[in-house]
Amino acid sequence: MVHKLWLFLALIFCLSGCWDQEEVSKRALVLAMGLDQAAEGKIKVSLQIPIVEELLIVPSGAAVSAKPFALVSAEGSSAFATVPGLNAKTQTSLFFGQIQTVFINTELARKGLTGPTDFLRRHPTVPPQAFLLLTERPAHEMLEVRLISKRIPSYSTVTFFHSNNKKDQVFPQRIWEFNRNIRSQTQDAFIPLIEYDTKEETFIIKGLGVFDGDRLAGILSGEETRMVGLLTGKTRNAYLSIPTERFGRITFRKVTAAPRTKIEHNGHQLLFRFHVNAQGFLVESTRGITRFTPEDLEWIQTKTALYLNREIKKAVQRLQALNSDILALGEKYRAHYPRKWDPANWKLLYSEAKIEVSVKFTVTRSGTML
Amino acid sequence: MNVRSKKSNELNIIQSVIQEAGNPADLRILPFGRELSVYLIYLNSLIPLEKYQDLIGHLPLDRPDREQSRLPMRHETFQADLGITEAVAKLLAGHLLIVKPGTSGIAALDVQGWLKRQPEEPQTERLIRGPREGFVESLDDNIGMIRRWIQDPNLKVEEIVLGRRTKTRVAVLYLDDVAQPRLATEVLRRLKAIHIDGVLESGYIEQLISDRRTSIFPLTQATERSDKAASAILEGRVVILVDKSPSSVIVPVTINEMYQTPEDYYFNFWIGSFLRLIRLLGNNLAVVLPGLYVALVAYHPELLPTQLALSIAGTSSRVPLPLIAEVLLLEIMVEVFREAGLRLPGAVGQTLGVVAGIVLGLSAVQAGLISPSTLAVVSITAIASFTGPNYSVVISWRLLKFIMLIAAAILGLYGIVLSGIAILVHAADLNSFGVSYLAPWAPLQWRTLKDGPFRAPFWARLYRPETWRPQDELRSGGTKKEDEH
Amino acid sequence: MNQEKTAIGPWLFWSLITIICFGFGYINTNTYNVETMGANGYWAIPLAAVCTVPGLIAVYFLMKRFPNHNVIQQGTLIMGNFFGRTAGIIYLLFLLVYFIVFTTDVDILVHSYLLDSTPFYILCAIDLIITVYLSTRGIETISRIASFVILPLVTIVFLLFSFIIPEIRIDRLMPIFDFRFNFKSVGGPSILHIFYPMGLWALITPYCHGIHQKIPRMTLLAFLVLICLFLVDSIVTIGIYGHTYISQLPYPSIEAFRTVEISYIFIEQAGLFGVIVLLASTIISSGFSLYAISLGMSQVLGLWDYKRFVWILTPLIFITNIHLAHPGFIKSLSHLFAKHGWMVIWGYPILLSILAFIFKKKGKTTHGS
Repeated sequence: MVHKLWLFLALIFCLSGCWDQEEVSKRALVLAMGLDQAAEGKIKVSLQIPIVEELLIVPSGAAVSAKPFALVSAEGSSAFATVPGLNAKTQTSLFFGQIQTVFINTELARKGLTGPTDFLRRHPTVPPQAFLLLTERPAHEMLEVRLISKRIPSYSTVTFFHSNNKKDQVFPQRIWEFNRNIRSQTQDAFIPLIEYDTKEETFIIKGLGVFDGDRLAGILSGEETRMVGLLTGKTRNAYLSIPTERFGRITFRKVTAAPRTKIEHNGHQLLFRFHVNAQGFLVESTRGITRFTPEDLEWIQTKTALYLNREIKKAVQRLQALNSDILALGEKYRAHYPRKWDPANWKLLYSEAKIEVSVKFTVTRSGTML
Repeated sequence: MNVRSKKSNELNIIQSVIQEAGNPADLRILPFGRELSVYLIYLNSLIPLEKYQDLIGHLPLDRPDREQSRLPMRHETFQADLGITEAVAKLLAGHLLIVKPGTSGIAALDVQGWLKRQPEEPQTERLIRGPREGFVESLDDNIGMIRRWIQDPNLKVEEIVLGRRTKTRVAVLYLDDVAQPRLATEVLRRLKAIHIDGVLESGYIEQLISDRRTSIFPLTQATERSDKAASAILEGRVVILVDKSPSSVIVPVTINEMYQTPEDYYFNFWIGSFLRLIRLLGNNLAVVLPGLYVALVAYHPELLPTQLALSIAGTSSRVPLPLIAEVLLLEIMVEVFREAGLRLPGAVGQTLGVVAGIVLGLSAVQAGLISPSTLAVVSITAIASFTGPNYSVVISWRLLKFIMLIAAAILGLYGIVLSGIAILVHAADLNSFGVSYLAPWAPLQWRTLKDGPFRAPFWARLYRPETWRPQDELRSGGTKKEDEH
Repeated sequence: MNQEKTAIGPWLFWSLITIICFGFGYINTNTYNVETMGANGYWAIPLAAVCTVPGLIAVYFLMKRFPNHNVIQQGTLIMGNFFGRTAGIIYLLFLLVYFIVFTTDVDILVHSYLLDSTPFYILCAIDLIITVYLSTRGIETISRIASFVILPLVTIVFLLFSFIIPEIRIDRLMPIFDFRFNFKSVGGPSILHIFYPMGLWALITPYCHGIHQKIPRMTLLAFLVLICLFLVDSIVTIGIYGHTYISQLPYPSIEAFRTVEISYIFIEQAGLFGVIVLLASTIISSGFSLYAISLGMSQVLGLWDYKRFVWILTPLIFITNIHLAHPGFIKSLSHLFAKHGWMVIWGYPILLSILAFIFKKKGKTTHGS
């Protein structure tokens, strides 16, 4: 009797209709998404879907299509409201689980991204590790560009961000980090700004878009981004080039930093103290000088430290002006002054805070020359 | 009594024997001795007596019967004073019957003259390093092989006869001062409880003494290797040898034992551990890989690396069959080829394996019947399934692989988890002669776990596995670490 | 009555209580921790452990005094037939509803993250089938499964969390010693819910008869492992999300797992595998809970055995699962149990131990049915 009961229950298992089963070849894999501001306050969503047969290597050597992906777009009152329209344009059902990159147009970002990106955190299949990129061009155009290095544009950004040696002027922002930061009172979000060079058919990282809350507040230049990287310790391989009278232009590579940040509250004003211990490999001297004496190195180090001091201060002041706390100073303030922490007046304190920067720079190596 | 009446007495005895034995065609009667007064009765198929001309000359025909009766019967090669029924039983078991003048009883001599195979390495348990000796079909020879490993007076050899018609001799071997007394008693009890027509192979015994007869997992261990059997006895387990069967049965057993080979101990512990881990990995791959493939491709493509997902999507877009049908079809074909390969003569079987695997597989891919990724997955599964050293448990897992595959096809990764847990529940519920089947993982036996996924070095293996609850726990004094150079 | 004549060893006991606490606890731990203690939510774990000790001492005390009886039977011996049975029924009903809420929460998790097109009732049914199969096998099998699964589970969980550690920002965990409890009402102690499942041990004390001496040691070891697991979970989750964002997440630990990215190896979203591993622990926890509740039911009503009660309770659980399947509703129910559950789970054994001490009640020392 008991065995019959188990058999009956096992049959329930087997008669289940496999509702979720859909093979990968029967799905429209979305590799990249673009979000643009459309007319009448609508949002335009564009999807980059690869044509998988075109991506296969053909043994006979026949010419493969230059554009192995399709682009579908639709407009809607919200980001996910466009999905029925997008579904209507594809033969197979859309699958968001392989999204690599989401391009967001700066115009949309300036209006606020809490709404447009909400579905990215709610949809269970959207990978939280997908990268976000800002673009001043319409996002759907970025999905269509032809790249000299990679056949699918979205995939090149993945390779780009996975390389440690690229962490100089750009730092990745993933969906989960972005969603956390735009809803956080102690830290603001940033998204790298990317552009397309039509002549060289390649992407260019132009800077870093910084947010105040969920709105794009401004764009940091490459140099400012580099300074932010040094301040946060995210830099893995920065390049630094400094003009000097004695040695010509000196360039460093593999510049990294170990920053320490302190916040002091003197009753009515905050003081941010940044202490940065940076180091780098000296790789170029345009005057071809070799055999640096200890005094020469000391001079170079001091000069570089001064340069960094100035640039870091400028970068932080720029962030204050934009009211964007991407350095998570709010978190630090809350951690050290929990009783004084008040999210309502944090931004005011932040924008009026004084800054003190001290930098120590060390030349670790001078390459294969003395 | 005159000579004529004495002779008729012997002839009467011979007649009775012939009648009792059913007048078989291979029965022979050889008058022997001076005056041809002694009669030798034997079955020509079991004792080719012409080969034993020297033996005949040395037959102990003149030994006084009185002395024989004081010796324990079961140890006697030469038994005298047997009745007709007992004598016929001996005749059928391959003994030489002797009818002497002046006696009413019949004597029997255990000659063991039937055809025997030379010991050779078992086909399914080959090793790179280790003895090339496997059990044969003769019980006495097999016992002899064990005795050559274990020359200890505590080695007990108990013998019983099973099978109403086959009268198969079954021997139970264990170390009296190591094995749990309850274990040996229980084994003998279960064997004696068997009432069956005939026992043709040790597999019959395995299934009849198993704790759970409906379980898919083998609850006894079969081996043809004498070193493996000897090692089991030394750990405190019991070995059952069956006459006419080269497979011995070792009890109790745990799932851990199924993945151990003697080779693990013949190499150093680094190599032994590596081999064992490879085996476990291979077995897990063989069971889970098809289901995992179906679950990832059909239910959770977000888990696949993008380039792999695109590649699989591209290659399988032309395939007409749904993925689960493709995988099931290929798996079943692999099983068919495997079974077919067993029946074919050696060289043809190997060639067929190559043809089936490579030529047919590639042809099917090029014809668009199956996708290359599915073929790769099924091939890896098929080859990985050969890493398991124990044939019974490998076959069990091959069957369970289908269950996991169907569960994956229904519910994806969640189905694999659920079916995996259901299989684990079943395994956890099993006992083999009072020992948990999942030991030393469940219950956790830390000392024995050293011999689980890894093989501890000999200097760390001072104790016998606590799984078998041996009486004498200490295996040896061990070579102390400081003795190592 | 068909009582199992079996026993569990010390390591089986340890595996069992560790797995069931982890299985029950990981889903909502961080939500309650940060709600009560903010950025110091990780302190809730050792605090909850300390607060659980009196309850465990009470159960141990009762076990020593009534070695052959579990908490249900102890109730009737101490408080008399009527009050004992009534209290036992209330205790078991509470456990049953807690179990139903938990299993519905897990089914919603599976439905949201893994199989969103499969009808919810199918998921409930299949989950329940496996749970029922496990619970009908008895305490020995359940503890063996726990023992088999625990080491790989702990290893995988620690490994996955180690991949998230680089994303932690220490500032989110600070200040470390700024304890500001948020006890809005009686119910601030929702942090104690992590170790509620240990209370189920009170239902299987007769099977621990042979390991009385080792129980304190094994319980301490279970505490250590659980504290490590939950501490790492809490520190990692708060460290990457911050305490304010966590309150918006239904399953913070799962979301933390999903951020794991192990580039360029076979699996992209490794976090989803973490979800699968965690689901294994929840199934074992469910199996044990159902077994314990059914056992208690059969004892308090004096009818049949636990296997029959498993079958009797199954349709009731199934129907309730389906009707409770609204994420917000389940979360609030779950919160309610977390806030007030300690009164029943620990309160009942503590009450019984006090009464046993006052009225000098003791059980027989010989084995009986």
